[in-house]
Amino acid sequence: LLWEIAMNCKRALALISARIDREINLVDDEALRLHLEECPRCRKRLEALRRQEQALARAFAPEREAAAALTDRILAHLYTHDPAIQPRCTILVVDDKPYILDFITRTLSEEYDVLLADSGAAAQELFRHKRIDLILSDQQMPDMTGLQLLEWVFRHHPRTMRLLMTGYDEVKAAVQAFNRGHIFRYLEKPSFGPEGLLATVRDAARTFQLERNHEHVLKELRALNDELELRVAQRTRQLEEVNTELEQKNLMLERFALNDALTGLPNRRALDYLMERELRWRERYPAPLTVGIVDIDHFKDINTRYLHPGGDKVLTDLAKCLTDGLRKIDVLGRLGGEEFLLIAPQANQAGGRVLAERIRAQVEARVFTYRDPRSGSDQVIPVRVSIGLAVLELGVAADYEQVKLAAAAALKRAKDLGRNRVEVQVLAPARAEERPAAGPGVASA
Amino acid sequence: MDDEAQVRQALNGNHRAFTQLVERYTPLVYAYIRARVRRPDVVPDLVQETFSRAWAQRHTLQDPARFGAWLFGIARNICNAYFRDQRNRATRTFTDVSRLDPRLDPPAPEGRPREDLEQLMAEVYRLPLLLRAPLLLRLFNPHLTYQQLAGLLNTTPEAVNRRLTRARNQLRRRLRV
Repeated sequence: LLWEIAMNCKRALALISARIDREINLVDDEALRLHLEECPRCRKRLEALRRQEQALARAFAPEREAAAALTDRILAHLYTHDPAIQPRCTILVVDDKPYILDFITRTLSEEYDVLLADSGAAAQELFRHKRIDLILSDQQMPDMTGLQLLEWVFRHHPRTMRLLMTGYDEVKAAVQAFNRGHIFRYLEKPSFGPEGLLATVRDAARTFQLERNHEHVLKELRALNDELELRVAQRTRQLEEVNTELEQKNLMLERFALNDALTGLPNRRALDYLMERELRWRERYPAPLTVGIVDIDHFKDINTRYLHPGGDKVLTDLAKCLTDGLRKIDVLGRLGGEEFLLIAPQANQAGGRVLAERIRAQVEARVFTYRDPRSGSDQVIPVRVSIGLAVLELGVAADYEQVKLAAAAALKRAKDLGRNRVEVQVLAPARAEERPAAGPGVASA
Repeated sequence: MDDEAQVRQALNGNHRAFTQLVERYTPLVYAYIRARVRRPDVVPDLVQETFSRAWAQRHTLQDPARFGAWLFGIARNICNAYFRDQRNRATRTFTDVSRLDPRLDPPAPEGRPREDLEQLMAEVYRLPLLLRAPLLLRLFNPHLTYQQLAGLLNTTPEAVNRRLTRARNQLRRRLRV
């Protein structure tokens, strides 16, 4: 007997796999339970399959909800595209005379689900339990008038279409209610026959269904709209992120394009721009301007002795040293090689000379050290600079080329005269307009 | 569920029966189409189209007892039409990147590493369709019996049992859970 109910692992696994989604059968099966108690391998498999089943359920959970919610959309779609599958309307008829209820039921039950009430209170009670699409009420009832009932419906169930039956003498009150929008149609008693009744109810039912379908479509549209808005918001955020990144990259590019990689000073391109701006500024607001070229003396020797790393170290240190000696409005940039350009706005010959002399002296006083990787020892590198200044006094006009030329000439003179010194070239005022092409003459200081 | 009576009533214009039928079959048609189409974003439209066409072709339903199988047949045709359309489109342009890029699958629900679900989804779609369809139907409606599944998939309850078992075991082996 034991052998018969005993279970081998193969059979157990088959049972587990087949019944994993029906936990109830797993637990109920006595033979399987016994086997699981004894066999750790099968227990492990059961656990694994359970975990997998849970993971699957989790993976498809959002879609399961979406699928369930899809029903409304499909029904709305079918209603709007095929009126043949409209749901039957439910109509509540309220009258205290049984023969009227009987007549109306006979006329309408073919096309509508008819509910009956013999008083206003009974009608209100029915509204509590049923979904009612149309209500047809008599005006004269023992507990309340039809108008009172329909006003109550208007307040509590505004979607229900409201129809009123009245005798001839009550028409005035009905018209008033009609005008206030509390009722949709009224039927005049006792003259309406089955055709008149059916036509009026059909009219009301069609209006009701149209409105309901519109609501369905509107609901669908609203859902779509919400989804769209969400997507637009997401896209906008993504776009903003991309834009910020782009801005940062542009900023970096700009920095790369306008700064010297070694010293971090404005490079030649930036200097060109700054000089042009400075010169244009002077045209508008006349002021003196001093422009200087700073050149390291015997830089080639430094490069030869300490190789390029040493030269680079000197250049970076010098850049710092030179900047320290400047006024806030001065600009120092690297022209290339061992040449720096100094732009000192509003500095005349005397001021420029003081500034340049201060820089030169500062460099001379500064101790430039360099740890030579070959010997491992700190070396002191003597650095001296020669500075050629081009000075534009107040009212003297010149273009960038002329200024550079003058500064270069001054620098050459400084070099020729023994280096480690400042030489000044003052640009002469241009003659009158008759010789604009000749450019300003040069007067030596 | 007594399909036959309900389908007859629905076809005779019983709105209640009709609504219930749509309510019951929407998740099933969804699961069946989802088993074929990997993109969850297009599935709802295909489901809606299935019901639309089913209503338009209701006169072709010969045996109301086999309503489910008939509906699934329509769903299958709609999926095939969709794939044909996609193929034609794919030969013209490659704009539909989501079909080429598996990373564009739906976002993972909170609280679980995305890769796990991605891998699971990928493995589900590596199963043959024959195994995937009953597995997804079961996931979308756990209350279906093998008898009902067999009716929907035009096969026997034993075959449904076998396919479900094979699907689960293949998944388990591949995922090594």
